[in-house]
Amino acid sequence: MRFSKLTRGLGVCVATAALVAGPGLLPVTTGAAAYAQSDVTMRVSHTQEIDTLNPFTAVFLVSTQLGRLMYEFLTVNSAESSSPEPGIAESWEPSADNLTWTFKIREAKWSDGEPITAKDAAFTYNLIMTNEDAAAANGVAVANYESVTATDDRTLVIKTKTPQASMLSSEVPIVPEHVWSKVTDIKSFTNSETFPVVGSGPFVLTGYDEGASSTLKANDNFWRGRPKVDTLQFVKYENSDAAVQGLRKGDVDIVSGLTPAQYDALASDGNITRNDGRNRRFTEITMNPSNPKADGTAFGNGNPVLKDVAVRQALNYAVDVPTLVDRVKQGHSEPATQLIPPVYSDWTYKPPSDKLRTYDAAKANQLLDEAGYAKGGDGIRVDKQGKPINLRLLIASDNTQNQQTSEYIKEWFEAIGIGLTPEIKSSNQSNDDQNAGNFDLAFTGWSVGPDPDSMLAQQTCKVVGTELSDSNFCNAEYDRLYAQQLAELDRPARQEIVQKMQELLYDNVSAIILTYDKALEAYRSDRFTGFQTQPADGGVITGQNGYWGYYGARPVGAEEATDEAASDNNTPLVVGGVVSGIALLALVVWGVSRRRRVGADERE
Amino acid sequence: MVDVLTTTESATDLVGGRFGRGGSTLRFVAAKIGGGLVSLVMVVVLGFFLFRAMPGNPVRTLIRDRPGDLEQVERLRREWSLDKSLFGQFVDYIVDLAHGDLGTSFKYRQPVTDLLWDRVGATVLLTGTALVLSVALGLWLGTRAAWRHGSRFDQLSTATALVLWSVPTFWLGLIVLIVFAVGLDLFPTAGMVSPGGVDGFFPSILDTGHHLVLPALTMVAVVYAQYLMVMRSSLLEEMNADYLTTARAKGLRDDDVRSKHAVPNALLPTVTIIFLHVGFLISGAVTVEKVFSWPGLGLLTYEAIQVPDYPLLQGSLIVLAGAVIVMNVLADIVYRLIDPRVRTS
Repeated sequence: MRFSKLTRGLGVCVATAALVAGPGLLPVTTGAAAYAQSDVTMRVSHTQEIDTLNPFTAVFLVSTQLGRLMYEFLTVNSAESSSPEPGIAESWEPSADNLTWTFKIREAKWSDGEPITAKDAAFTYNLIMTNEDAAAANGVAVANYESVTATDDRTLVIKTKTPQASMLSSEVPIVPEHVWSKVTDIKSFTNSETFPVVGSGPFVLTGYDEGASSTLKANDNFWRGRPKVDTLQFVKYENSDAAVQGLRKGDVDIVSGLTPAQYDALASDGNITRNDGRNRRFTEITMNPSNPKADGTAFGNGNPVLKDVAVRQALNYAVDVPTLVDRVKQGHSEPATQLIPPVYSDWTYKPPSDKLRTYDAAKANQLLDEAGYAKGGDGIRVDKQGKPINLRLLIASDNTQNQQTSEYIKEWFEAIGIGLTPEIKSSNQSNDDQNAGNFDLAFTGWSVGPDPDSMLAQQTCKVVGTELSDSNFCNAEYDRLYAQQLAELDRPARQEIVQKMQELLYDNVSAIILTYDKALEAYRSDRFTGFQTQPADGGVITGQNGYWGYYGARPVGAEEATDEAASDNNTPLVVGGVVSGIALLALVVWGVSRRRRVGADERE
Repeated sequence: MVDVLTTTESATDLVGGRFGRGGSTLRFVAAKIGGGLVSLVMVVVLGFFLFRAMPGNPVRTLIRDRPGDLEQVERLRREWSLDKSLFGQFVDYIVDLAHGDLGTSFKYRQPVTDLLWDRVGATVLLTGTALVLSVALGLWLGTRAAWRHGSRFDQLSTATALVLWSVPTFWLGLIVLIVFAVGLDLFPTAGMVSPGGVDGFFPSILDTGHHLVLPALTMVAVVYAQYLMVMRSSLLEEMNADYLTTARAKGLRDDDVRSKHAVPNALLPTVTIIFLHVGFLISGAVTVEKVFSWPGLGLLTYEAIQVPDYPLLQGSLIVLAGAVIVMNVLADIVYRLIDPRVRTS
């Protein structure tokens, strides 16, 4: 049963009065032991917000994580390497012209026992394609779809306008038609109106308290088999320091998004295991080339020297990434070269040793000398117009690591005769400046999805000067390859093109790609084990492109499970807390009033 | 605080000047309410332009790290009316507002009114509890400190209050959390209710009370000093008044002289401050909410700035500023009612 916050507030006032009045309430609270749960509950803390749990509109990371647990896709990203593997679809086949895909839907049930059919999938896709409100989160995935039809209960046919290689990583949550056909207003539907929320994933949403917690129960009908954890709760913490304390105390079982200092501090706790997982995130410094927009209008005010590839190469050579990993990231990163991270082993490009740019100040100086940027009297090089080269570096004020990095970079750039002015701005202002092209160099970073397509699309000419662009890079050959890879349905052949595109970006130094940043997580290993990381080799538990981490989790031993159940009944704790709070207050009151009486007596 | 006080003082002058000398109470009240309405209209207009002048691009924030295409960018701009002219957006906003509609949040895609309403209760519970406790504690300690000013009790309680007042709230909150929630294992580390909620009416109230202890305690510790100091200084001003000598001469006990004669006269400035603070109640305490993950209005607003979620920000501003304006008007009116000097001058 849930009560509105106002009712609860009034209630608390009444309860406080009752508690002060006498111990009459205590027998009632003992009776509350009835809500003790007998099953195994695993709690996950999150500091990021949930926008909505409606799979058609949810875009925030935690929301889509919950979505993965609630709704299965046609195909899911494997735990090993994020390559597509069967989800609701047990097999698939593209046609000879690469325009028609036929998916065979497996025999499985929704959490309410109804069969999952191809009609549910067709309903979901058609809703996104015909209703603009339903396209908010996943409209991009179906933008190239011509039609989606269910020819029978087990067969789904998707026709595309042009060949689409990213088809199997589309990540569209399939919803049950018998539930969603009754939803009239998709836009404002929060999907927490009635519980349980019928789904097909490993867990079923059974409760949601906005801004506080989400509760999911194991789905008995999940086609891979029921998860080992009975109840999974996501608990909102507003700051990671409190979440760490919650982990130490046992209020939560997994925390993520730790800072290196928090991570190190947890080392000594024997009940806690830490995981610095290889992640899909990278940090880079983009260099504004001031390329014109797609319609030809001028865009951006980047320093003109950045148009010269020799300058961009020299800047890259001047940055000592291993030192940054060591001093700024405290070892929790890997030096990076490419925007497709190595966790996607199929897609990432490794520059051969003769091309690899590693820290080499002499080489940087040599490149700049050869390109004709002579040093002025003060040691700062001058551009072709005779003006000293001084670059602005845009940094968001909420990112302390990037601010530290900028101090190193300033020194390294000055060593090769390039002036650097760090501009620390609010993250909103920094976004605005990047969007307006109002910068020379800027820190940014991305979380890359399982299909390389969208990260690669961010470097094409048509998105220059829009919200979508990463580096405002523009290169005709790159755009040609981009179109080619999207139409190439043969995976090895596509990999080759994708790597060639990254090679082109690397040769042109589209950006100084600094580090692949690991995700720092920790969990109560005295309670839970068996977390499947993604990628399998040293990957992450939370924030995956899949549900593997939570799905694999199991309680440590049967006895431990009983302990867990017992500790879930926190009524004695509640009573203890309130009673000791009152006792403390009474003690203070008594102490002060005693002093006061003594004082009064003295006066008389 | 000082600013607020000045406003009231000038309001009092106004009372003495324009509306004094038997000026009708009705006229006075109407003028006050009219002034409040003018302020509110200014907030409504200012809120619209202020947030749009702020840096930030909601489209860029909300499509970040998601597959995107240009069509989607257009779709979002259309959904949020960002493709319209600024003036067009303003007209829509005013028309909706006239119908009692604060618009739909960009981020949550829900009516702003619902979002705000859900959070107001949580915030009022926390800040209201903290206000009642800190006023009680502040007045009590302040009275005693002034009555025996210069004593060890005075020095100790004033010093303690000022130290707590100057300690950073975030730091104090974390220490409280580490000691009481983790070290002593007495209280939960986050939220207003246990995850998933608790069945039954009384258990759920007890559960909320259990969660409320630490944030309320932290807030009281940080703010009670201001009530203590005001009460202490206004009582000190009364200390040498002739009427107290008279009262003592009548043979009254010291306690009676204090509680029946001195304190009632010293309460006036304190009551005014309390009234004005009630107005700030719902703007809450973002820091305390952040430390203890209390799902209040302050946090909702803070997180909305990061998008920036214009409709949600406008709605919050109207509610937050509205509360302050209403309480200011009430404070002016109540002040006139309870202070004999203002009433008769």
